[in-house]
Amino acid sequence: MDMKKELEDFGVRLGGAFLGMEESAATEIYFRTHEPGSVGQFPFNELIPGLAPTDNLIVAALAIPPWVIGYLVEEDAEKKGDMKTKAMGEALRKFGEGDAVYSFTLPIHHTLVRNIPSTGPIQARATESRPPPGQGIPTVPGQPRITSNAVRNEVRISDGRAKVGMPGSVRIST
Amino acid sequence: MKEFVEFIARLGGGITSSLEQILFDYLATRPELVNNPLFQRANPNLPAWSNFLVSLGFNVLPWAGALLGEEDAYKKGDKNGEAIAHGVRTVTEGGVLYTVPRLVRIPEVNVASGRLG
Repeated sequence: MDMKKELEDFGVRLGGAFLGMEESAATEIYFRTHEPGSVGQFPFNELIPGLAPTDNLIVAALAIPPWVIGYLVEEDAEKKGDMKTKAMGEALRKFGEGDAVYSFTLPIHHTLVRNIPSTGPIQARATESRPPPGQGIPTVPGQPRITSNAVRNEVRISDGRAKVGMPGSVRIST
Repeated sequence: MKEFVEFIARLGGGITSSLEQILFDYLATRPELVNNPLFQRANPNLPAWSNFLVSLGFNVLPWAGALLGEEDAYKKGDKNGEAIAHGVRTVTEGGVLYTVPRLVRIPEVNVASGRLG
């Protein structure tokens, strides 16, 4: 076991995961800064009720090309005996793999939150009034606060027709 | 094939960590737990402490421990121990790859959009 190589590989994968995170963060920031115009509009709609928003699926799809290209480059270079290109292909594959682990898990997470019955209380909060933009939720010491990510950060009415327990009626960004 | 299996193991680790976070997010809605320090935030823009627990406690530390254990087993020639540690490291690495970027994403989105959720 080569500890240095393992750590380098992990760093490359983590870099790929951060790329996926930045892509999803970019779509999320766009969504929030363009509300209510962005609500229910592509790519913030749901293709199937209860499925993660389309922007999450697009980010997941973007992770595939570097992964596949890296794999193919690595295979091709190995056959040709070009070790330098093989190393480059391997690094690209691992970068794409890290991106894929983050980007594939994200829509799975959001789909699970929408469909697991135990998240009912979280969905119920979607109908509560939200703080004005920029003001956030008051955090008074000693007072109950909404602190959960899935509650505070995340549950929001995406189509203006949200109802408690109605799958797909809320956009959840965790 | 080995790479594909390891990818699936990492993805499984990522999904497991998302389930852990969903569990904590659910617990945070329980009236009896709403004031629990685990669900508070050092700053409204930052992730809740439960996010840090899932990321650092459930994934980063086990990953680091498994990495050290794998190296130790390798030096001792313990093939079985090395394989077990490698498996644990691979699964927890998936959790690290999902939860650590999330710790950055939450404040980044909150600050950049100028609003909390």
